[in-house]
Amino acid sequence: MNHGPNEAGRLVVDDVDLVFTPARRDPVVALENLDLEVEPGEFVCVVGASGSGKSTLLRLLDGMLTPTKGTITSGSAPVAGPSRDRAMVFQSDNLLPWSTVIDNVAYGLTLGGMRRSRARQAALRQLELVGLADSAGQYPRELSGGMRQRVNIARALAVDPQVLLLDEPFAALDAQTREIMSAELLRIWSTDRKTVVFITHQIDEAVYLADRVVVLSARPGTVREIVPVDFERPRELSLKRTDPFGRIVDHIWSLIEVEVRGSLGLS
Amino acid sequence: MSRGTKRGGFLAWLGGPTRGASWSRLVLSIGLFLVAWQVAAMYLVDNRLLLVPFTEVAAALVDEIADGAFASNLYTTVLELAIAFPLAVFGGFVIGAILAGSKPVRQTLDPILTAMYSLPIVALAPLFTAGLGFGVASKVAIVILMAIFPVITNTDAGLRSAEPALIETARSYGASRLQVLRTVTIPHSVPFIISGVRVAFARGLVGVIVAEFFGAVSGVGFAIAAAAQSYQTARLLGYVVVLGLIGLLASIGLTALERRLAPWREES
Ligand SMILES: Nc1ncnc2c1ncn2[C@@H]1O[C@H](COP(=O)(O)OP(=O)(O)OP(=O)(O)O)[C@@H](O)[C@H]1O
Ligand SMILES: [Mg+2]
Repeated sequence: MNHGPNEAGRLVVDDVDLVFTPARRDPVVALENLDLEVEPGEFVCVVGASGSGKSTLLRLLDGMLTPTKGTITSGSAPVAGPSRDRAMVFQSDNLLPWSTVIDNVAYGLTLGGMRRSRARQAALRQLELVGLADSAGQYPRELSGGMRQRVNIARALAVDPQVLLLDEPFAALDAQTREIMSAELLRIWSTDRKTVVFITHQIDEAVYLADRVVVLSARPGTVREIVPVDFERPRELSLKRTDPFGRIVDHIWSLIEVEVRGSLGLS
Repeated sequence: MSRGTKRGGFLAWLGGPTRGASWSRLVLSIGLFLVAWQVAAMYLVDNRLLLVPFTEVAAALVDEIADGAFASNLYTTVLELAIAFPLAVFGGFVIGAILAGSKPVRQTLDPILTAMYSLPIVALAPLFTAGLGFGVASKVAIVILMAIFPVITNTDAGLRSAEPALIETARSYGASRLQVLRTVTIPHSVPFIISGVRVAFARGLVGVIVAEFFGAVSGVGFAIAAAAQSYQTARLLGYVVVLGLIGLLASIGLTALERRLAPWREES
């Protein structure tokens, strides 16, 4: 296989099982025989019915969970716990309420031992990138949900990770803010092309963002199909209103519809 | 920024966030209270053992100050609090932190702590006076016992209630256990601890006064008991007013401390 120049951003999931064994309850097989390879600099979206193991997959990639079977490799080394090479963005912004916006963005850097003044400089650059430099001195509760989520993303970008892992980062936002945010994310991503794994329930969002869309099937979670998305970049939001775009969305929807119905107890 | 320039502007300013406004509110509410007191004492209550006009109370207080008795009584009570209260806060914090850190210890001690917290500890005041004498020691013991439990409980609760999502986020950024403590758990617990300290001070004040009732040679509580025995209502109420002022000062001080230590909670 021909590996690109920037090996650091490569993710390889090799035949992974993840079984939860809750106390006094039956084990839950969240993922089974999962194989996935993400190229350095690639933007991959993961969709699937609720409970199909998307968040679990992301936690495995970050190193917060350890596979029950199989291996996960990030760059050239196996994943053995969280690392600042990979940054995670959750659906809830999880900003520290007691830190100002700039200190929140500097958080990962100061944890890594960087001096506060330097970390703040780096943080300010990220805030400019997400258009929030003016809010640097505010506390998170003084911001809107969309602004907080931008701060959350800036915090992840600030540690300059090889890999950005996002778990439904825009799910709590209204539809308009969400569209703008996904366009913004693409713009930011295009500046330095980090590897991105992005989870969403919104199929059109996935198709708009991704180079490839990974469709997970549920119970047990495994890769159902990987759908390539070859639209040119940069992509306009109007792409979403085109026929080829709609065809891909329909195809992905047909793959997961059965399971979504199943998970709702319909048929 | 809106300034109180138009009609009704004064009320808007008074409800505003400025320092001047908050002092004005304080002066205004004390003034209203004193007027209400004066009116009640002159026209509503004619039992002079129960209530005398504020002006007489003030006069009695001035006599007491001129006499030198006031300073020595106040000194005793403040000294007792100054020794006992910091010990209670520090001890409560340490014990609370131990409880938060160890589930077995917490589960073992919980019933005892709950019982002790709800116990009217002032009931032990006569015992402490008998055992530790009429001096400062018996008061310090009571104040510590009264004040320590709210600090223990709130420290424990504060340290254990940080959002798991925030802890997980810290960990995903590679935070060590110590870093999680320093950047998440402890900041989260600050407001809890301060409100524990608030309750602790109120309880400590009750403790010191009641302990002085039961046996002391000096102190605010001692002076109140003495005034009551000789039916000097004005003098008694004078000391009660001073207790009110101590409580008020403590509350203002704690609010200022909270602003400093937990600025993120301040209403904008
Ligand atoms: N800590 C846990 N203990 C036990 N079971 C768990 C745990 N976390 C997840 N699971 C189970 O693993 C399965 C996959 O969960 P996961 O959160 O990865 O789903 P998801 O695809 O992210 O769902 P959603 O779209 O609703 O966020 C579910 O059946 C869930 O109940
Ligand atoms: Mg999920």
